[in-house]
Amino acid sequence: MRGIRLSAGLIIVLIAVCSGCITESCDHPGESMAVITLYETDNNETTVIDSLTIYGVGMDDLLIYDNSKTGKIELPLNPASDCADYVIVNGLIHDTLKITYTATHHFISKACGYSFLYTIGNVSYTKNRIDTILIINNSVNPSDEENLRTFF
Amino acid sequence: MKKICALFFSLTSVISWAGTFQSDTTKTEKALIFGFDIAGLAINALNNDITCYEGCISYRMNHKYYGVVEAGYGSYDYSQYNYTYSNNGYFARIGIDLNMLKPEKDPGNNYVGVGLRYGLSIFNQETSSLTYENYWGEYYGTIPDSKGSAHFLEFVGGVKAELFRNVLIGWSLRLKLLLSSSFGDDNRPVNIPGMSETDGGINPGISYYIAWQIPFNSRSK
Repeated sequence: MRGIRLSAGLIIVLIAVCSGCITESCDHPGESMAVITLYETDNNETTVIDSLTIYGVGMDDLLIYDNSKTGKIELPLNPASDCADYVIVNGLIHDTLKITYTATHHFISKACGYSFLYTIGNVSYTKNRIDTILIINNSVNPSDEENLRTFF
Repeated sequence: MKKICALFFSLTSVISWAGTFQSDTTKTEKALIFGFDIAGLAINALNNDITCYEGCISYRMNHKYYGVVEAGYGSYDYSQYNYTYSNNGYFARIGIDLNMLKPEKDPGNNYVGVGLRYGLSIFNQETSSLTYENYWGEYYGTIPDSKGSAHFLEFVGGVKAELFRNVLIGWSLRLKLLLSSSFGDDNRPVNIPGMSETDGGINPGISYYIAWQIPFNSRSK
């Protein structure tokens, strides 16, 4: 039984050795963004816009998209507010989009901390270039799922 | 993490190889064993942000089976660049230990075995600061203090040796599995008193007990 006594004592050494084995890193899943797909009203098919500029209202010096050619938009929401307002410039025509939502903090991991999830309640927009915006999925999370469908 | 898991499984493998289940009919004194976990004190000495006071009472039914109740108090503080978290509360575990030593080879009070625990923790937690930065700027917030509970399972492997007559020391390595938490997924605890951290599916833990054994009688072993 000397072996048992020895092992009962030596475990302290193992604890000290293994205390340095655990490493923590943040494998961040990414920010929850409202995913908007772009469609043509005429044929109800997806489209790609050649020159799209988007920025937050009052944030025109910080562009989210800058004359980008894209068929899908990902918009950051503001966790400090219950709505976010954007200016969407398609060619030279300006529209505004307001997304109203509730924000919920979400614990990711010890290393990453918290992120936010959102539930879209409503959208309102001008119709200068935009025809219709539909809410497809009101749950905004780090996945790439479509939330809004915009018809031009 | 992987190294600790590998260490645990290698130790339990050795335990399984070294021991063979013995007959339940072997006469061994029934006993109550009172223990205190000094691993919590050692961890607290190394890290002031973690406190854990834990005791256990086990009932030796025979040479093979031990009924075990463990209970304690824990608190935890953690801070990093984007949040500050704290919790404190009480926990209890109930379960059974199986001694794998053959009684004919070790008729004494030593123990090498495995066990299973069900744990319940009732505690408060608070995120006193939370910052988050994105396109719209920096968000500052808190998650206020709230009370809740968590249920978990532990798989235990360890040894105890009789240092002096009826005085035992021993350690156990534990794999802890969170079953559920009343805080929900969005406010999942960083740490749970009695279970430690919640990242990953199964988390390791360790106890190092000093225990005092009270035999019920002095019948033959």
